[in-house]
Amino acid sequence: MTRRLQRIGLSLHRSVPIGRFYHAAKAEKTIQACALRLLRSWLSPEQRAEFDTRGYFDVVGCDSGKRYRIRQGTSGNFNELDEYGRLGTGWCFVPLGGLVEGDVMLARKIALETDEERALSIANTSRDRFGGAYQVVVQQRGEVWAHVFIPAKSRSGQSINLQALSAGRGNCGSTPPRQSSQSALCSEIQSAPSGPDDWPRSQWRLGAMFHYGHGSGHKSERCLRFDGSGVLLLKDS
Amino acid sequence: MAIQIVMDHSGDSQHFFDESNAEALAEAEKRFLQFAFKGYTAAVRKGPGEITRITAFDPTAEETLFFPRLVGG
Repeated sequence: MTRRLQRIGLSLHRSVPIGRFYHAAKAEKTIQACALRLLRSWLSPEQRAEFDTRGYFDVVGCDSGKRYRIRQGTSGNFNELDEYGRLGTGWCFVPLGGLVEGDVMLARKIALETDEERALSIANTSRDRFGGAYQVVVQQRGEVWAHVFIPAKSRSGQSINLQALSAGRGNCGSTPPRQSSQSALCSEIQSAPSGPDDWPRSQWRLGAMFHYGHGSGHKSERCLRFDGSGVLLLKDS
Repeated sequence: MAIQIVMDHSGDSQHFFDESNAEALAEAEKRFLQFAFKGYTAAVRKGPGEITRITAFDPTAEETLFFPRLVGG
């Protein structure tokens, strides 16, 4: 049998890709796969290329002309983009009925492209409460020293002086403050068990940074670094 | 052959109909009204990436998509 297969140019190990092909074809019949196929067929060629390579696509709102980025997922997974293409306010609306990922993404795309105002009027957003802020956890000696909230619209290159912040502390709260001013980068310190004045600045460490949106924190596309003198420098990654 | 696609939890239900057949067209219109009444949004695709939301049955639409009412997530 093997010799006969070899004579016509086939060998047994070629059955492996066929098996893979069979499993792939089987997987293609799932609800998720069908929904993704439908989504891809309704995307514009640019959106399809973006989705295939990056796992998200951008849409333009029909009323405001704003751009939104729709990522894979069913909840809290699309954001407004600012003029620099950075993630801003997070929005979330879903069609009723427990639809799968591809269908939810397609419904969002159509709603934003054909009836943006109405779609956003029913959506939940992180803007109302947090102004699309970034939450930065500053640590010292392994302990959390402060939670600092920075407006998402703050520009690259702007710096945050924690020394100055410590002087103005006292307006502590359990939620991030409303902050719209571009000049005031760091709004408040949520909690500060002890001041950093006595501690060497070189020991300040950046613990974590989250985009403060609806639900759990998203992985941030920006980063902060210390310049060695107690100043956090905001820098696009 | 035209198609109406309805999103639901079990995937997408597809309803094909012959737009030149008056009876099939009437049935498609009835289906359209049925889903519109339930609060579904209907959209048609005119070309690649060219999508229009419709509120009345469009007998010339080749592909109509229905999705359920939107709620804040």
